[in-house]
Amino acid sequence: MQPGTTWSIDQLKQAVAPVRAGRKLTPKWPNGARVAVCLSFDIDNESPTLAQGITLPVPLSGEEYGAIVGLPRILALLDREKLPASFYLPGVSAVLAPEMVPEIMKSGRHEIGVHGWIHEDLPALNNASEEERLLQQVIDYVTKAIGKRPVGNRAPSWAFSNFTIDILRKANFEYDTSLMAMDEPYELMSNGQPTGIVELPVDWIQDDGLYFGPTGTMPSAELVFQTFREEFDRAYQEGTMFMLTMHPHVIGHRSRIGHLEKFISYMKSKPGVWFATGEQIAEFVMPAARAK
Amino acid sequence: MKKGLVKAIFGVCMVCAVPLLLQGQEKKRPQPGTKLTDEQIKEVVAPLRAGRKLTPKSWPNGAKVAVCLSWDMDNESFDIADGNTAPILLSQGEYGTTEGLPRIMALYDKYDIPGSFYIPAVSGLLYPQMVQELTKRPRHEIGVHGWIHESLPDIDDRAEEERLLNKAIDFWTKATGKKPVGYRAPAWAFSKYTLDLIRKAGFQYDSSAMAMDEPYELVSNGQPTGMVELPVEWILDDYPYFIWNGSLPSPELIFKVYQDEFDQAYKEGTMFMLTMHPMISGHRSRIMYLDKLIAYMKSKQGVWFATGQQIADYVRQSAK
Repeated sequence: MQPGTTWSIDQLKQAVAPVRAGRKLTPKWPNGARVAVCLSFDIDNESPTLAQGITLPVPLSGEEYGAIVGLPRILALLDREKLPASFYLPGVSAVLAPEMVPEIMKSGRHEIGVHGWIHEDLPALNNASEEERLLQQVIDYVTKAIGKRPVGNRAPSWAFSNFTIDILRKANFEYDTSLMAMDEPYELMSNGQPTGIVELPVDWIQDDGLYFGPTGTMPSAELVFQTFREEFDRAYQEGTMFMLTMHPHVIGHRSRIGHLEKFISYMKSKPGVWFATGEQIAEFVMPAARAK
Repeated sequence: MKKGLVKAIFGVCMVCAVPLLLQGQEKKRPQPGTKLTDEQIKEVVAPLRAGRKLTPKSWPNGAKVAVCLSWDMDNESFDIADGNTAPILLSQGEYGTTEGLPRIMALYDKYDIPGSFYIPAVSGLLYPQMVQELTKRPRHEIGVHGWIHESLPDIDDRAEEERLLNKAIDFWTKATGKKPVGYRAPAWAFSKYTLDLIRKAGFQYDSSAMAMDEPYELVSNGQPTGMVELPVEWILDDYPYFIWNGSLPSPELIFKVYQDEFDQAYKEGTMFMLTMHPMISGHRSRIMYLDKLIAYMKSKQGVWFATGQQIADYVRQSAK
């Protein structure tokens, strides 16, 4: 079909304007650090499956694994290494396993951000008021569960609808972590104006979800972590940020968690690596960005 | 057919990737789950949930880990179930008995280890020599794996599912002289009737669900069922890696994944359950790695090689 071939220059610019990258925001990191590393976990568990109305017992059991087995292994590893992490939580995952929230918050090092109510696909929903209702539901749930309002948003499946950017601004998030225009923190623009939201970008390369599983592209933890390491090495060289996205029901498996442990040791072996939550990174770059 | 189910699982597992494509088209997708109340959410998952962990304080004779090297002897059963009778395709399944079976029997004899063999009754029907080789070696277990590896969610009919289940149980009871105690759902796919039917049929254990890495009790609608689950995982199944368009058809890399799973199971003192297919891992370039893996596991202290039945019996005893 290719409608884009007939669009005028103005139409083309209008088409991309709702969400665009503004200024790079990488500052001098705290204490002379060379690179910021954010270990992040999307606690999808059963949410994406249930969102679609799929209630097959065995796939759901493999996702229940995320709460029972995956998350405890991850938290134990982070405790051993004394590292902070960000956990992006769909409300429904917590409804089904409420013990996960106090488990995460126990150490005092971790952050919980929002990740949809039921990991809903926002472009497929295509409904501004419904999208806002679901977002408000998860904000309320997390606020009640942790005692303060979550400051970070990660869109389910990293998918924005046409309405998401406005809904996020209205909800006053400090940062979003769903977009892909850079490797480092940047200012999120909408229709030519700064939104005031910091973007901590992600990338499919640094997401365990596509590699593993029965239709995974490269279900060898050895090869996958080699790729992660190479992304980190370049981030270190360039002095920016390394944002890793994992899922407890994926990375929490026995043949994978050991590789995460080795990778953490590798990163720790380099001088000037700042392990931080998304919240810490966003709050650090904001004043630096405003000072410029 | 496994392909059909892997496609269904694709829809489930790859939700991360699908919207990447959807964004280009902005197609609407029904998402009924977004409208469910908290109570409704809990209700829809309640039919099959994980209960207590059943790993005992120690495995027999102080062993540190229980290892079950299991085979789903599907051969061409799932193709015939789908009505695919193309001759060359069927010959690939036939390989499972002509080449796969003798290699597996020789390997297990070499290391003197037992195995659990979950067999669609139709495979038993087509390959009486397979039944002979297994019953000749009483240390091996035969479990139920459908009549013809039927997809239970696609049948979606309690009476029909029960008819096929009973047909399979009768076949094996007659062929082996005793009622099978272990059940593995074809393609690891339960329908909404399966748990009730296997409980009714008196199975001692199931090996199709995935909520843990170690034996656990199945809970249904808030009640413990007394049914032992010996869980499986796609990570420890040769099928997705090695099929046409498989995700990583490198035996070296895949057996490294299996080894990493085993090493952690050993560290955690739980269970290692591997699922293979004779027409897949029975091939020359793959079975050699299984030989190496068995030798590796045997080189460690306290590794208990057991059938699913032995593991289920032991955990049930220890749980009393």
